[in-house]
Amino acid sequence: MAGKFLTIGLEHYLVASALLFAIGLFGLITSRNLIKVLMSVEFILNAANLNFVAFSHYVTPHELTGQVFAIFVMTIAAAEAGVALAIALSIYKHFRTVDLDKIHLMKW
Amino acid sequence: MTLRFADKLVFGLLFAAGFLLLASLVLFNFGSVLAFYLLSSTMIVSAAGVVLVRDVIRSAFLLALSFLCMGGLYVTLHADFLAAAQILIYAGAVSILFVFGIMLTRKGGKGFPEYSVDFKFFAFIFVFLGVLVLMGQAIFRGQWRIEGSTTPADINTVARIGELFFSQYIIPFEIASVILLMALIGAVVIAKKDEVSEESKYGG
Repeated sequence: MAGKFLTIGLEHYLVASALLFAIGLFGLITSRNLIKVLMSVEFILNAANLNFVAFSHYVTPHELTGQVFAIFVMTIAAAEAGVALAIALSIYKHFRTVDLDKIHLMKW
Repeated sequence: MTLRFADKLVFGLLFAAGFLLLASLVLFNFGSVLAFYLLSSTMIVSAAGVVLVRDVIRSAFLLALSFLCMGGLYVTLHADFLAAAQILIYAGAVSILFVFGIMLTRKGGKGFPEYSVDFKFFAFIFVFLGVLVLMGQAIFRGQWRIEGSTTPADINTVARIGELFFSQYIIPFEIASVILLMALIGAVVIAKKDEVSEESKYGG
């Protein structure tokens, strides 16, 4: 039983990334601040990245495909963060708040 | 400065713990295991702090700490280029972007309103029972085709990733560059739009 904790395997990284994903999802549901929601989205993307790299390390050790995919995810996440923060800024200029409960535009 | 007995006790215990840690590192080749547990626990705790701390600016700095720890985890996975990219892009650029976003959209003084504790509790139950149980099932029941070896530490990942980018993944690579350009222009246009109309409204 102790050996399971003392040799780091694929499952360790998967559990860490699952915890990170769950924290990101929790933040996504419970935040009222638009910026905090965006941070939670970054956590979810990072959890996916950690999974990519861990699988690349343990399942296909001699190909770096997982790392290449992680770099693509990083690119998209950076673009997403930039555009989303621009939208947040625009929303703040219009509504004078980033409270998601007070933003009534495009709500059904 | 005179130390009290309690302080001496604390320092002595810290030194003893540090010595034991170093000895175990040397004797049992414990370093990578210790690195994984330290980095992942710091990452998880600071990520939880991002979500739970009320002050948004503090959660931005905790976000940077969490991303740094994830860069360290990439190092333990022998992905050195990705670790550097993680620290440059996430811990550097994205965190600073969030700090700017917070400072530009914050009204000073009073804290931000939050949902009730009941709602958070239900969300906690939903997430940690639903998602974690499902993922735990997938992780521990799944049959992973794990190779006997792992990625060697002395591999030149930068050159290998570069070769993959310019041979097999050339089209996604080009599309990613177009997406970055679109995001750059789009972000400027979106963030600038209202300012222009406001200026024209007030006759500026």
